[in-house]
Amino acid sequence: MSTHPRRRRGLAALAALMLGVVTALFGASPAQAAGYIYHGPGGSYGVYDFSVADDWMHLQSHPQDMTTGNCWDTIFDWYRGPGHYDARLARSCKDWTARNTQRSNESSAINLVNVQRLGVCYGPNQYTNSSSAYCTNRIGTVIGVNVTVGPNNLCTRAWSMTPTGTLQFFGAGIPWECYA
Amino acid sequence: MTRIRVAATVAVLTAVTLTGCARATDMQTLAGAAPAGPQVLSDIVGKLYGATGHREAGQERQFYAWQAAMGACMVGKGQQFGLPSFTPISQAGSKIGPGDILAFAPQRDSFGIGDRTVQAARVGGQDNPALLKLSGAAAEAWLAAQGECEPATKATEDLAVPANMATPAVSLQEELAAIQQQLAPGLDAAWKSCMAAAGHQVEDLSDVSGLVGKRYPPVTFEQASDPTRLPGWGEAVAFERAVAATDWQCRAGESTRVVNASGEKLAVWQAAHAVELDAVAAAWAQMPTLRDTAKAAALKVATVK
Repeated sequence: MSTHPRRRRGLAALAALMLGVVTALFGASPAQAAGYIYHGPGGSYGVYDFSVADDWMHLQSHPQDMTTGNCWDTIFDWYRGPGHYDARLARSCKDWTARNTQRSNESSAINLVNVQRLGVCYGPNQYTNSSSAYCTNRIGTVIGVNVTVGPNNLCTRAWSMTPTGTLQFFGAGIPWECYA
Repeated sequence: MTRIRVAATVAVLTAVTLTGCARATDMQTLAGAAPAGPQVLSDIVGKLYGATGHREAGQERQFYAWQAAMGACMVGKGQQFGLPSFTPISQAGSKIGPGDILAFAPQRDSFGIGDRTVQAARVGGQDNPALLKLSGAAAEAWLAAQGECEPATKATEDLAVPANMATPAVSLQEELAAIQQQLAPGLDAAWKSCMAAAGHQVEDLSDVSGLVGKRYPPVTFEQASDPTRLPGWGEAVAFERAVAATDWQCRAGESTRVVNASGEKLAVWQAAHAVELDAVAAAWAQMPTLRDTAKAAALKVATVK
């Protein structure tokens, strides 16, 4: 949903304050964490929020003053246990319009052992894993994640928005595999 | 043959006579012969992951269920709604490696990344047809309604696979990881070193997807296109095949040995999860019907044809 830029900044500040409280309460423990990552133009930011105990996560991408043709990503990639990794991505390619995963319920449980990669990227559509210069990482290296958004990516589940504004969801095949 | 094995064989033959059928792995286990690892693994994967046509139907079902949920909400808010193009991605060449666990991942000629990108690009056109007819305030109102309607789609996100698949799949991955840890504890580290020696800095097969994926020229899918004409496409295809070859070279011996040696353990796991496996297989068999139902619902709700 579009909102006036100035109002959006105000809402962002309020939300940041609330999330700050959440973070203060739960810290950065692997069980529950929340925070903001700022990156790119005009105060653009991503939000991450997850609870291992309740098996959900929530990613948000808030692009502000993007160049036409660019997109904004928030990415979370984690290790679930023996040989098992997973990744989720929220991408908006429409300026001033947020894309979020809502609370992503994980059918096979989050099983968060540790976070491999957590970060945000801004750059030309589908280019954001071609150079680390496009990303700001809180943990790990976002560059290693396959962030192609489309039905062809069987590794990263994605919630995206086209430059025109159509919402999309790509489930990535079998949710806990990269090749099926 | 020992006396115990003779008795067991008689018992198996009696069971076959009484029931009319018995799984080969059951017979081998009861008869005392170690069941063949590759066959047991194939039997398990076949039930748990369905046939290629079932997985393709699952993808299509999820797409149309999502569109039907969104469309019903949008029309309820007085907005027009059309169906974007569905992009079928063939599963014909896919090889299942549960959990991407190295010892049990199959030998691959490629990872299918380039092939799937070509399939997706040739369809293009992912915007909603109703939105494309609007501009100005009308488009803004449509986008606002779409944002409000998105929660209605949440329940459709996992419909590409049977709901009863996750629990046995996770259990299987844990079992495979435990077997690898027991039979080839150094495999992960050795594979990683071997891949690095070939110039590929990866931690696991998930990283390989990222490594190969970013070698391809980016394709946005906004318009139908033929990405094989893009500069660098041919080199990317060659790179993907080279990485696949290196992957297998780095673990062929250990993977083959572990799979061959794991028949008995896998047969025990299979027997313990027989009811669950049959239920998942039955759910996969229903997927084409569920796909048709979801597609009919989406077509019915669409107001822009």
